[in-house]
Amino acid sequence: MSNRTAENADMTAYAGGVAGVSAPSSDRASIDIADLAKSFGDVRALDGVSLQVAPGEVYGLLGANGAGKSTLMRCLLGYLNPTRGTVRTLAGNSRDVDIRSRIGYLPGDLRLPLRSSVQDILRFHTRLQARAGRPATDAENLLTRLDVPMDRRFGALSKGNRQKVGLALSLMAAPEVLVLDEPTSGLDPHMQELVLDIVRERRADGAAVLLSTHILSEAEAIADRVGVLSRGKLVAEAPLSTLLDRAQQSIEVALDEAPPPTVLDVVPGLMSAAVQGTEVTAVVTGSLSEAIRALAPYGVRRIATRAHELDEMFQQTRDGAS
Amino acid sequence: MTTLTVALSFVRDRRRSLLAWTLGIIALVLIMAVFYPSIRDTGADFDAYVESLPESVRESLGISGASIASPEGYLMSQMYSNIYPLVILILGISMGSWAIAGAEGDGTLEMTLAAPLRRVSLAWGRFVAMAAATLAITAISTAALAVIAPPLGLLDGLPWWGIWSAAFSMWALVMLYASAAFAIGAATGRRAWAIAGAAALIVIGFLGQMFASLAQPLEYLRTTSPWYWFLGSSPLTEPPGLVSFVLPAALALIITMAGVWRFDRRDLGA
Repeated sequence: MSNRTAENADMTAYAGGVAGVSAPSSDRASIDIADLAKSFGDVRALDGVSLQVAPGEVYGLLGANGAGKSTLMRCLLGYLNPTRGTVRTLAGNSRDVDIRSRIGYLPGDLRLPLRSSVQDILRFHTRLQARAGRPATDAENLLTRLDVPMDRRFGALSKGNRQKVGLALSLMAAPEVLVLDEPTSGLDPHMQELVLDIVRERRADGAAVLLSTHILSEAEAIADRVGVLSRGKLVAEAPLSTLLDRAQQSIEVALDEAPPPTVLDVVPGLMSAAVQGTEVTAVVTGSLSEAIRALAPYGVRRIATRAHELDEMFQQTRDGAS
Repeated sequence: MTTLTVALSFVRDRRRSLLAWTLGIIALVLIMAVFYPSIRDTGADFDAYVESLPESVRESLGISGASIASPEGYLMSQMYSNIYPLVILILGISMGSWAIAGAEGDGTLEMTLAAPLRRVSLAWGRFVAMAAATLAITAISTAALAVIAPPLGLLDGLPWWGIWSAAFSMWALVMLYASAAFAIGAATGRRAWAIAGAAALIVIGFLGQMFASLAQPLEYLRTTSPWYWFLGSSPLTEPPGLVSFVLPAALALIITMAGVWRFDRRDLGA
């Protein structure tokens, strides 16, 4: 129990962005959010969130539904006025036309006029980009790569094809800032990989990318850093590998022989363990390799593991420390 | 130019619906016109009936002064005081309430504003589209009336520009209420409130001017009703003037400006 308290204290300090976080300075950040709070009546959707995203960086925003990811993005885009704090994009206000023309945005719940053809929708956005002095130079390339059906009405498209149209709109002017709310939602695995490739290309071109997802593997595949939002607060922020090292995992092992009850006591990061005959269950923070090594001499028949969701883990950690 | 791009896009997205409205309103106007000869031929009976109505009711129905069998009396009582402006009002309020609040409610506003486009430009673009669409449909249906009316004797005794004058004054009335729907929707993001607000103003304006004329001490209140500005101004024989055109048009602009101002500052709904 004392072990667990010490771990909690360590995580809480970490969650404050103190340890091991290489956030860019505000001066060079393309996205700079400081002490952002947003309330809807009595409901506090965001509470003191600060984060920066540098050019050429992909920042993954993780969190459960209702954690505040979309609210944060809507504040960043100027759809919502912050209750407190500041939001700066490309050192300015994202509602300025000049700044806006350099931002690509894909909302989580994409809605476009159902009766309009894809061509009409793209034409409208292309014209506005051109008027803002930022032509959609990449539109043709994107439309071909994403295989967007141009002649059909938006309302007649499948969810995946609708998502492609949204992606084309958000990416076509080679934006310097990309704000993507669950961009691979509804896409087949091949298209998911293509989208992640395009995001990687944008990162290589120097774009700052803020991407929300609830798919850990997606964040793992693309994010340079992640932040975990829980109940409107940024409870952790670090390179994903660091967070995964600190993630709790449950393990259930069936053995050929019954081990002694203290078999896992030597395992680093052990949170809890229970040995019942040949069945062992444990919760470990970080790598499971030591636990498996300790159990191997007893003949491992079957292993089942479950990684705790990051936001769940950090919420538990925060609650435990407070 | 951005405003024009927005306006054209707004109209283009609704081109089929607007075409249907245009054809429907032309059909309505033509049907009303072809009934005129039969009304004219039985004019004495109609006039006797109309004479039996209270003066205030006759005025509110646009038939004070002229016989219902006359072109002016028929046009005012059967078209310009009820069904014709009401149909265009429905179109105007529908477009006005959808322009911001409807788009916000169905979620399409978010992606539209993801483009490099100021909220103010979006709002004025859609207002211009609404104004242009209602004006075009009013003008086209008036042109249809101008073609079919002479053989039916429906323009006899009226100046050639009479129905155009009435059309512009009617459009100003439509714009006033459509602007109210637009502004309420822009300020609140709720289409139901926009429709309900504009409808309430129409009813209050129409019934208010009718009832105010029944009660002598309240008669001055009639002058506050946009319906009185339109119907009381003899639009078929007087050119659009300060009260019948400039006043409602100016109010429409002021109301719209207030709605756009609020829209530019408030949170947008999800």
